[in-house]
Order: sequence, then C-alpha cells, then structure tokens
Amino acid sequence: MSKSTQQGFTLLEVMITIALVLPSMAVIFMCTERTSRNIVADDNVAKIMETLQRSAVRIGQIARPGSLSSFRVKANEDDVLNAMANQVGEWMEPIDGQTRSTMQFRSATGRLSMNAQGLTSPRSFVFVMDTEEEDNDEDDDGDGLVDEGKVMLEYDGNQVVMASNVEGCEFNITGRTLRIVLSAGLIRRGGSIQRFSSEETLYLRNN
Amino acid sequence: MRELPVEARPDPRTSERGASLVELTVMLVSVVVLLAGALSGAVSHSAQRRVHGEQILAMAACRNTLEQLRGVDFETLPSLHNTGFDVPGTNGQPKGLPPLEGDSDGLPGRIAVQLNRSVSGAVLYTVRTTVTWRGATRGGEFSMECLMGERR
Repeated sequence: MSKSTQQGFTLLEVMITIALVLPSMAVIFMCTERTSRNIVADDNVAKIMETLQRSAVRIGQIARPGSLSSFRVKANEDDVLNAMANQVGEWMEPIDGQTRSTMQFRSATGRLSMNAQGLTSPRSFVFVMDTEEEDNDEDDDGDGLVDEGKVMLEYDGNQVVMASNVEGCEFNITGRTLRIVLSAGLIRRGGSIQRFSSEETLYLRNN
Repeated sequence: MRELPVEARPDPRTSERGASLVELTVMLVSVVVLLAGALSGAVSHSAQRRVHGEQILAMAACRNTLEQLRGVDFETLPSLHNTGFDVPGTNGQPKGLPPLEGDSDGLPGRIAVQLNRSVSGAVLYTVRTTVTWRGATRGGEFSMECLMGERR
C-alpha cells in the first residue's frame, strides 16, 4: 500500500474547509438564535392576546343578557364623598362613562315572560389578584406575568373563574353600551413590561 | 488453503480513503441548506402567528364597531355609510393596524350601511364593517355583516 493513498486531509484542505464553514456556521447560529428569540416572543404575545380575547368574549356572553337597570358597581371613596353611596364597597348604580373593576347585574332568565321579576339572582364579576402577587408592577411569583389575577363570576354562592392571568378588568357603561377591557402584562427579556389589552363592547338589550 | 484472486480482495485504498474536499464541501452545503430550510420554516410559522394576531385585532374591531352602531340613533345609521373606524392595537393603543397606502381617511376600518328592505315603515339595513390593512407580513382583509332594524 502506497503512502499517498492513506493520507488524510492536508493542513491546507482543513484550513480551507474551516474558512468556508466558520462564517457560514456563525451566520446560521446568529440567525437561529435571533429567530428562536423572536418566535418565543411572538408566541407569548399571541398566547396572551388569544387568552385575553377569549376571556373577554366569555365575560361578554355572560353579561349580554344583563338587565340594564340592574347593573351595579362597588362604591369607592369618591362616591361616598359625592354622596352617591353611604359606604365604600356598597353596590350602587353605575355612573355613565365611569370605569370600574367590579360589576354586578341580574340577567333575563331566558324564560318567556312579561313579568319583570323574571330575573336571575345577582351575578358579580370580581377581580381577585393571585395570592403570591402584589399590586406593585412587578412579577412577584416569577412566572413572567405582572400583578396577575383572576376575574371571578360569583352567583348563588358559587365562584367560577372567567379569566386567569389577567392584570386587570374594567367595566364601563355608557348609555346602553357596556365596554369590558381585560389587560395583562408580560416581562420581556430586557426586564421591561409589555402590556396587552382586549376590549369587548356590548349593546345591552334588556331593560 | 486457496488464496483469493487478487481482483476479489478488498481494495485497502478505497476502504481506508477519507472524504475528499469536494465531498466534504457538498456535505456542508447540504447541512447548510437543511438548516436554512428549518429556519425558514420557523420564520414562516412566526409570520403566520403575526398574521393570526392581526386578524384577531381586526375581528375584535369589527365586532365592537357593530355593537357600538347598535347604540347610535337608528335615524342616523345611514349617514354613517362609508365612514372609517380605527383598530386598536394589542394594548388598546390607536392605529393598531396600519391602513392601506392612499387610504382617504387613514383608518383601516370602513362601515357600509345599505338598505336591505323596507316594509310598511319598518326599515332593515345591512351593516358591514370591514378592516383592510397593510400588515407586518402580507396584510389582509376581514369583514363582518349583520342586519339592523329599529328597536321598539
């Protein structure tokens, strides 16, 4: 067997190969890293937006048959000062155009009736912050979300989660139009907060 | 023991020979092409997600505008024909979706109100909300339609 047939790569061949491969691999690595970072970020945004959207629609479906005259909001200090309520936390009639985080109403039962008494018992939407979170614009429980909590539907002593991982919930009645806004905050890689919201508008048909 | 003829013996030169530079380069090019393919697949998946996100914004804006139109005075409904509306962004900020270039009012949404039928004083309109936008990827169009009559 001759010496020439057993030889491997020459140093020159290896150098040429490395010179060809290294820049290509560096570019590919950079592209892959940037792309995967963007994909993860896009995925998180899409997931949050979809969750907010679905939750807002779900809350809207419950609120839609609500009787306009039965809508109530919880009184705050300003309401007491303005003689709109006797004490903070009392259920009072909503002020046109004002935004609140809690809402109570009664719905049409769905049975055909000319009787105004045919309404459900009071139903309330209440925002409850997660136990490990504090209202401080920070991710206290380390799950990437800021000040998140749940929107609960309370009725007849029952509690149902209508939306989770949301930062806040707003209800606003203007005329017969009810506006529901759900919001969420996400911690980005750099540590900044990216906020999202989803709005659902309803025309309340029942008096 | 009979020896194999010389032609039948394995050729040590071919079995022990390494890959040539050409073979190695072809292999590397193949790897690069495969990686580029996988990367472009991931990018198109991401782009699809963005398109989906834009569609969600357009859909929500169309639905909310229709609900707001239910709240306006029924007599004024036809006058809203061909008026525009904005599409809020992911955080409710204005101009969430950019309109097409050359759009007259700079708003991606458009309301169309057309008479559907009118019977003995009762009027029914077909109301359509359409969003046409120039998206982060390829843009798109979404529309929603419903009938509206006067509530008595």
